[in-house]
Amino acid sequence: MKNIRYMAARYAIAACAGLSLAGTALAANTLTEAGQEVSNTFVLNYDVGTTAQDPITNDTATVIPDAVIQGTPTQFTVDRKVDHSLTATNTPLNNTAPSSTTTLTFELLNEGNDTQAYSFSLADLDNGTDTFDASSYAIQYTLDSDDDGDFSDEGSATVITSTPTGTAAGSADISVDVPKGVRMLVEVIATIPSSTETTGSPDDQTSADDAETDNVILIAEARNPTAWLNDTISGAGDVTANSTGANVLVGDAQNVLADDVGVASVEDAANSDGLHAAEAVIVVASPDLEATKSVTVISELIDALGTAPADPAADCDSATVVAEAKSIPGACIEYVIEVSNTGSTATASNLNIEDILPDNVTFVDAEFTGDFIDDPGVTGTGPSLAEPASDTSCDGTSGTCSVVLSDAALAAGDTGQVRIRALVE
Amino acid sequence: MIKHSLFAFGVAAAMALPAYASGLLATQTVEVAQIEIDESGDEVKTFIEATEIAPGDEVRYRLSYDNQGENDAVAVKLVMPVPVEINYIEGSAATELASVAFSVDNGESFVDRGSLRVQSDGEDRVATSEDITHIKWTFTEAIESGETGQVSFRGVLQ
Repeated sequence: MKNIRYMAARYAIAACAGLSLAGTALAANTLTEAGQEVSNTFVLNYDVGTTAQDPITNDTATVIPDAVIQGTPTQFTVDRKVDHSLTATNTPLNNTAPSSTTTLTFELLNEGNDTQAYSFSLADLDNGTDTFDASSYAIQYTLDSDDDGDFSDEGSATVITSTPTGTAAGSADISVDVPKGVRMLVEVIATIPSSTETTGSPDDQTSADDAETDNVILIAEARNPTAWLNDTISGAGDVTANSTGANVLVGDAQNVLADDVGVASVEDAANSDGLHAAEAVIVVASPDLEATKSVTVISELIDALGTAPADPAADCDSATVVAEAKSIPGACIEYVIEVSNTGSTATASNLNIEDILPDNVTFVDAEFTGDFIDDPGVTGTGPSLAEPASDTSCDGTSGTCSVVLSDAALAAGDTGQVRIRALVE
Repeated sequence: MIKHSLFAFGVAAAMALPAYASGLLATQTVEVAQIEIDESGDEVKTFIEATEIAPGDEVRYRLSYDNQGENDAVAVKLVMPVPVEINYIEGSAATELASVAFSVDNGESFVDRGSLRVQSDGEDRVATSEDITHIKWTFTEAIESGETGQVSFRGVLQ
């Protein structure tokens, strides 16, 4: 037969076939350890005629009366199956706010039959499906050292790198040893840029605008641990590769890479290559702002005798609403610009609310109320309200009567108001 | 009288035949399964020396016999353990040469597969392949002088 492809006849084995206790406890896998010797024997009994003969056996350890020893026990050494999987566990990460940090979570499982260490690297897609990039990434891990499926009881995570490399080969960012069948939580902490698009540029991957995505591929590569279960280690930390040289029946375990493909674009799709990758996506949800403007006549300001006040601006500033007041010359009116962040998660920052008063009013005073808070991305402590001098006669231009709220932010679900008092001229 | 003593001698001789010390040879081997895809895309499974073997692989234990003696071997019974690291593949011990029985008590007792039961967690249940500790082949025919053959079973390395 020519052109034959050889495949090992491998059966899928349940990785967690061990004890199952009430609750969520997980056992390390029950795969036979690499380097373990499996031994077998036989005993053959027979007669000639009606006479029993000495039994035949290859068991040199057990005493079988009158046995004839033929051969020795049949033995082989279990080789090292190098296999792991990496799964993204919180993708897609929706409702990520601009100007924030967020964490992608992955779970790595050592599915082989020996201890293994891993190195990590990050491939960030810039090919169109990915419309922005986080400005920086860090990778950290937490080993499930008590093998109970719970990472929250393991203490703080270990940062492996704050500057991950893009390719797996040669990555020096190596984890601790992971026993066979045990899990490791791997977190990628991404710093999300602001949503301010560079003016005049097409989408340039550097701003996180609404509905944009950052596709991130985490790659885990199998590395030699500090110690194997049964064999002497040499080259701890080296990339774990298929053993070269002749295969042997007994003796030290040989490496057999058996991982499958997680993300084909960063792995060798044709072979088990010691790499397994998983892709996750961060989705931006910008805040959703709604604004309304209303004007109310607060008071006509004239007294019961029809006399106008001596200081109408002062009166208007402190006036309270009078029912059915008319908009007549001298009346005190109030403009209210109300802004709501109706988004579910993201804080609206970099707010700048400007109102230019029309020609036929005199500015009195302005204030802001409600939920506006300081914008941490702007220097100084806000919110700040810029307003014209009291008694300024407005002419409809921004240079004369402009009220500006700046250095302000609104959290999701919050509402704020800018209130402007003016006199009708 | 002489006639009387001859009969006595004859009977004594029949009981004092020497043990059959050589002639039947038995060899046990272990192999790992390998699948070949031939040109038509069909899978062909072969067994080769188990120099590369990892959990999940299929193994075959084979007992080959060769009766190089002058006499037929009768009432042949072969027992092979199933190592703890190996999970027996159901039906793989079957052969036309023998009836097959199984043990879950380390070879103390053997019954046919359908009757094999264990006590587990206080309940009596049908034995699974993981429970099997030994396999016994009871040959139905003699292994004649000059005859060769083999029996085997397969399992999965855990």
